[in-house]
Amino acid sequence: MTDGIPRKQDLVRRHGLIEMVEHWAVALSGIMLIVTGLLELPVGRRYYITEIPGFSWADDFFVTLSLHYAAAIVFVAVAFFHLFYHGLRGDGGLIPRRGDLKASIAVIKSFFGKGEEPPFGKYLPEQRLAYMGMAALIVLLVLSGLVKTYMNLLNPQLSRPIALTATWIHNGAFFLFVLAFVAHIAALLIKPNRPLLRGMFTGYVGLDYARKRHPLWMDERMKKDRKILPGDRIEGTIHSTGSSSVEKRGEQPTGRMTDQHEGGTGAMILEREYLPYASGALEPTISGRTVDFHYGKHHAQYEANANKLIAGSGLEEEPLEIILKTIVDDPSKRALFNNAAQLWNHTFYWKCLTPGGGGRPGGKMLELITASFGGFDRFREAFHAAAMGRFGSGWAWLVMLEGKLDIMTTADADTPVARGIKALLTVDVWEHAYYLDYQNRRADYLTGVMDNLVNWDFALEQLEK
Amino acid sequence: MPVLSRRHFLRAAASLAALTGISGAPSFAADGPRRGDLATLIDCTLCDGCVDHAVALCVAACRERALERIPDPEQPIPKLFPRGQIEDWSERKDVLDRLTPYTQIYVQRADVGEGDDRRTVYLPRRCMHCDNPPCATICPFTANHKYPNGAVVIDDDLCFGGAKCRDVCPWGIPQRQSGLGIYLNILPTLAGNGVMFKCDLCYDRLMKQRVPLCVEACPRGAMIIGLRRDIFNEAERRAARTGGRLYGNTENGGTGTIYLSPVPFEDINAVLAKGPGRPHLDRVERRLARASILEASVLMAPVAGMGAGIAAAVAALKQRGKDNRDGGGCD
Repeated sequence: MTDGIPRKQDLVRRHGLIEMVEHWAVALSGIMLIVTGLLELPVGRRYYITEIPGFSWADDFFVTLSLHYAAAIVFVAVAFFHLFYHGLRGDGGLIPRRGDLKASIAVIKSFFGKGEEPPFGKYLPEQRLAYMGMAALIVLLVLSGLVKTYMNLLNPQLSRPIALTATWIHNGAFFLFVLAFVAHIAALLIKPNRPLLRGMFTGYVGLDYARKRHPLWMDERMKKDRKILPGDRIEGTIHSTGSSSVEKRGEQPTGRMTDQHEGGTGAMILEREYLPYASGALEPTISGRTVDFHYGKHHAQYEANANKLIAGSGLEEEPLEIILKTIVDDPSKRALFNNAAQLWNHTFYWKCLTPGGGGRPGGKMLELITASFGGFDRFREAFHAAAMGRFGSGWAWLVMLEGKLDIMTTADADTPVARGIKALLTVDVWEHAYYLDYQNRRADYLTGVMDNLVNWDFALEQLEK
Repeated sequence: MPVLSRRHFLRAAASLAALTGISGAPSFAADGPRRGDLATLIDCTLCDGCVDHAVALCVAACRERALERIPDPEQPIPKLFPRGQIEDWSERKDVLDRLTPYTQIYVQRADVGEGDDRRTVYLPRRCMHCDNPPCATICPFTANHKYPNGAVVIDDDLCFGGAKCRDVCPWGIPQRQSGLGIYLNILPTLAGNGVMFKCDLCYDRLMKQRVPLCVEACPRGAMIIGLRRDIFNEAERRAARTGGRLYGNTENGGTGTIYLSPVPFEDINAVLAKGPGRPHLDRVERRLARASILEASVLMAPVAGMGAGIAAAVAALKQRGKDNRDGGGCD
């Protein structure tokens, strides 16, 4: 099942029909296996279980074993189905990644009010770890259970070391499986996780929840829905909201897009564009964690604030650049300007970076830089010095000013585009852009970006617009 | 039916042993049945219950080994929570008229028929060593296991004494001694209740090419042990020759013990003293056979799941390819 475009108001499809059938088949047969498995210890009579109405069979081991087999048929078949179905489809969303352990600890701490959750993709890091743990136990249970069944049906005289090994793997994994099951249920009692419960019953989770907790997942969905693949050049498409959309292709990138994929929910007028690469693609210069926070939290927050503030401003119908130019000197619209400008700046920034970029540009760009600064190395030094000299938060820019390239910096959210100046390149020198990776070492961050990430092709494209 | 004289029997047994390796004699050939599947024939046309002895010799030999091997429980034996009876035979080791941890074989006596037809049949009873023993299948710790030589053996180091094996045994053979075993080291009041004991076909002796003590002790050669096929053939042959009946060869899906009786087992069963530790002679169906279809389905489930998974994935991938092609031009 693919994650289709949500048709229901305010809901996002999280699980397809096949995944839900898989989950509930494993869950119900698993519970049955736990109950009948526990009754394989002779506890039915001794612990009064046979006296529970409907459980009079609990001490008849032929019955409990038959029920155990019946549940195992479902459990084993679904386990193998899961392995082959998702394996062949290449579904890897639940396979643990590097850093999941650390991230899980952060998430668990946040449950106790310590720190903030990082932005998530479709699955939480501890969900991936829990999945792996559960999967490993199921593999052990299924394989050892098959050996035991084979012995019982076809070969009662199986060598004892094999029989003992299978039995004790089965018993040990069973014990851990019961613990894992209890932990799984307990996790759903934790408040931030509760919205997921509805997902497993209906297949849908709330849109608000998904936006807030799984921004990276939502971004991915957006990309998929628009059928643009990572690495494609981003069209700076401007739509006016409403039915008669006017498209102007090849404009400066803008955060503005119609809310075509949200089914009219939560009037999102200004939107950041998606990341043109995977969040880990800028490593080692900029870590995936930094990008996850920077794009998934900071950039998202500017977007959310800008949308909140634009309501009722009379500017709802305007493209983002026009908005910026209109209100840049309006003290009463300071907050809207700051958030809208940061929305634009960041979208621009992400495109100024590219994996495998950096170093010396070629062709026309190099000619222009040489003509304007007296050589690439002198440009680098000057740009570095300017970016280092920007006190506090802000941006360093390469701009086109009066027919010449020039370097400028802006404070906080301020942006050349609001002043009618054509920007070719920017580097974010807010601490949030580099603090996780470099702490106070802004110079190392700048050097890394210049050496490894600057997207000179993008800069040239801006020039040619 | 004439009872073979001992001399007569020994001659017959010797020639039989020479032919087939079946033996009433105290040892196997060097490469004998240790590896093969063994069976025992208990010929009740020969057994006279050792009426001349205070204790039947098979019982006495077996008990001596049991008394040596089973340590006395430490008193007091822990009480069970929330309920459950402890079973302590350590003060009643001399009980001989039923199976106990210390009496792993005993002789049943049945007076069958009236008047001139009246005859007494003696049956030494012990574990049947089933072909597919439910007591081993159902043991949660594989403390109970059927070995390649056919012996079904309880590992008294690993047994918790939960008595599942006795519950599922059609004859209720294994007997519990509380206050012994591994459960004492874990949660003695909450889990386990001792160690289960039953005939292990003198597994240690079999491994040394020696026949079980009961077989060795029998003064009339009423018990013979050998390769299963040979013993089954011999049982059929004797039954055909004497008009006797067989019990055990088809019981519970087949066992490693065959009784040959001169009178119908239904008649013996009718007059037998039965109850805990006193096994019946009912015809026994293998209850777990009814679960065979489930067991087979469990073994087939991986194939079914794999097939369905591959089919669904191929369908999904096809659909995905189609979507990509269709979607390519209209963005």
